[in-house]
Amino acid sequence: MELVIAIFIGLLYACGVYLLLRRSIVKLILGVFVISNATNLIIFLSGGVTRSGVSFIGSEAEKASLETMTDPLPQALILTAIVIGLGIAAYILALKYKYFETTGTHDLDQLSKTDQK
Amino acid sequence: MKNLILEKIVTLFLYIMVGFAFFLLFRGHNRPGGGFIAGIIASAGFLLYGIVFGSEKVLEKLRTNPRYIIGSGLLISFIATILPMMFGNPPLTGMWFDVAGLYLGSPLLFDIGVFVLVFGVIVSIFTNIMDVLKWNS
Amino acid sequence: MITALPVFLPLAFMIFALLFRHYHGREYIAVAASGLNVLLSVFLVFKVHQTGMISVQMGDWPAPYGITLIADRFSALMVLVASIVFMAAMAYSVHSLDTRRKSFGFYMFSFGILMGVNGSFLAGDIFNLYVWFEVMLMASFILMSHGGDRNQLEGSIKYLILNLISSFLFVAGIGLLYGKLGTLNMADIAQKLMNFGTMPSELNPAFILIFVGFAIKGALVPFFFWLPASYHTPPPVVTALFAGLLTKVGIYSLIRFYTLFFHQNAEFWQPLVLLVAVLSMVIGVITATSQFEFRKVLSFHIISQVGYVVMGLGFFTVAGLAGAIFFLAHNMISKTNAFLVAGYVHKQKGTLDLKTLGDFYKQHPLWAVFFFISAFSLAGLPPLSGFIGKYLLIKAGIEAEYTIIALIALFVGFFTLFSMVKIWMEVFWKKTPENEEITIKKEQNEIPENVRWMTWASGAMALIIVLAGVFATPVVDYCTQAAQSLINPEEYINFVLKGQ
Repeated sequence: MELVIAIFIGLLYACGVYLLLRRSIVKLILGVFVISNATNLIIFLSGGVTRSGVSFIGSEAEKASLETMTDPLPQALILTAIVIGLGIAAYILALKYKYFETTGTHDLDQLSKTDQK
Repeated sequence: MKNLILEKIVTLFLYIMVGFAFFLLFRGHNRPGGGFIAGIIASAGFLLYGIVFGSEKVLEKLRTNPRYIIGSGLLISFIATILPMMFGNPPLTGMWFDVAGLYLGSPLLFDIGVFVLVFGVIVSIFTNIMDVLKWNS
Repeated sequence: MITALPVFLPLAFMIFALLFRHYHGREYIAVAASGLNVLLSVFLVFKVHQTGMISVQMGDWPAPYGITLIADRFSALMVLVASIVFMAAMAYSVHSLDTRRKSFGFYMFSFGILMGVNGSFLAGDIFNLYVWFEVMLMASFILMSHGGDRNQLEGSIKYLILNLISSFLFVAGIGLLYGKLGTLNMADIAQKLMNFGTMPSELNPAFILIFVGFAIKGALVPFFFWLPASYHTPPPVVTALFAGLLTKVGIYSLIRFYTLFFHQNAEFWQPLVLLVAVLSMVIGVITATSQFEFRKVLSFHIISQVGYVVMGLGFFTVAGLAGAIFFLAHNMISKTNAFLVAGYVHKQKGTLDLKTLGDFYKQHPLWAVFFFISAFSLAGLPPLSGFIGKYLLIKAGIEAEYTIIALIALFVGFFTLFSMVKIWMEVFWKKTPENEEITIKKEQNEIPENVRWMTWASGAMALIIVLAGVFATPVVDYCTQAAQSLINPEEYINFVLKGQ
């Protein structure tokens, strides 16, 4: 299972980098989102994948055994990373909208006013 | 476009979602659940409401600017964070009280703050996006 | 307890700013809050200087499990310098920023930056460090695009994408590291690495990712391109704040990680770090000489001077690290002040193009003195603080038998002097070109006419630069002690894990 997820993460990174290299700003932003999710999956994978193990210690009746218990920390980390990703997604889309409103272009090649001459 | 059935269902749905969010919020005290997920679900209810009625109606329903919701959520969590410091413990230490048979603690206060904060942030994001895109107005 | 307060104070201000929106005199409240922050950090430095290290465990969970906030001498000094820089920027903004930006949350997001910066300096847990980075970055994204000029939007798209990628690399590195070691506490990781003896090669991908993340954040060659493309676009006070705080946090984290983790595999990391340092110094300074815009010249110099700090880190002797710490602190203050002077020039003349400026010394001699102090401190002229920093670094290099690198650093110093003299000649000394009619843009007339707060802020910074140069001995002693505790990470590890 780990191997499948690892290959999938690799694919996501490949897609993300491909999208980052496109000229359209929208695709660039989509690439950032894809890479962000691939990164979240890396954290998920770092705790190991165990089948049917809960990640908390409940009351006596439903107590998780230490052998099958999933590491709870990566899940907390992913939650944090996803929340940060949510905030960034909202901000970056607003920024894109504002940029499009000001300049009327989606083209990254037009972003050359602040470059070095 | 006005659609009576959709409007009624969405209004009903809003109350169900908010009620379920409160259920999850208090369930999160010792079981899976918690402030973050409750905030997401409550704001999803308002999101459906907003899709049907438009963002002004959402703000009318809330009766306040989402900014103040965010601020008060942060304030509640902040109080839960610094409250243990007043008693000489490190910040964020859980403090537990026995209130009339209920075993309550400062983590619940923190979770309520997270709930209010997440709710405010998401409502603020989608009402702003709807305003900009002139959705349903 | 005091360790957590530099994080909570900005948060309290942000809550206040969120809840009380229509409040007049918010700039004075912001200045007062930043002054309180300076007092707090002075207290923190005193406390740390007495005991060596203080820490607080969030939620009272013991060390490898809970989140640690720890202040040793190095991070306490950084918190102090960051709070001074921040207070100067806040005071400066009173009379340099238009009311529209002020009323749309400039102060709130500035305190967000302060919170992130203080948190990153104090974090003792790598995921917590990432979270503070994100707090700082979110606030800085907003300030970068705040106001919505076309140039600003372009600059912030570049800044945003590259910094996000650096965050992703960093957090991917954290994920891999956690998968291999099963801990996130910095002291615990260092302890485990020491127990391994030789560094296991499975950890290299994680550390490479983390290093690249920090290098992008700290604008080291070859990852610096976002910095000169974006730093000259926002209002001057925002640039000053960013130049003083943001890249330095990346470098601080690099120093922390290098001393705790990377150095245990020194034969791989030391040549790499020195190579990156030399390239940053040389490329930064050479590209700076070809610029003809005030703030762009200074932006490229950030890259070059960050290289000096990393060079001191690469020597990895007590003297080298002490020089690096001193230089980092000096650079935060001098660089910010140079940008503050650029802001004043912009306010008076409406442009920062070196070719069209002139006669500034005749018209504003006081500000010429401020620029002289900060720019020639950056170039390393005695008796200013930059001279002490460069002297310590180059001496440490020669003592550690990296003579060629020390010589390169010396030559880079000459080039720095050259471009500072260029700004001095073009802006302050030469006559204004006859045919170039300078017009102050009319849209800026929302900015107050008064300059009193600007003068106070910049003057105080210039005074600090001179004092840090003239009375350098106690500061250098403090930095040496900080370097000693950095070079022996056992002290840090034992303090966090065993409370000793």
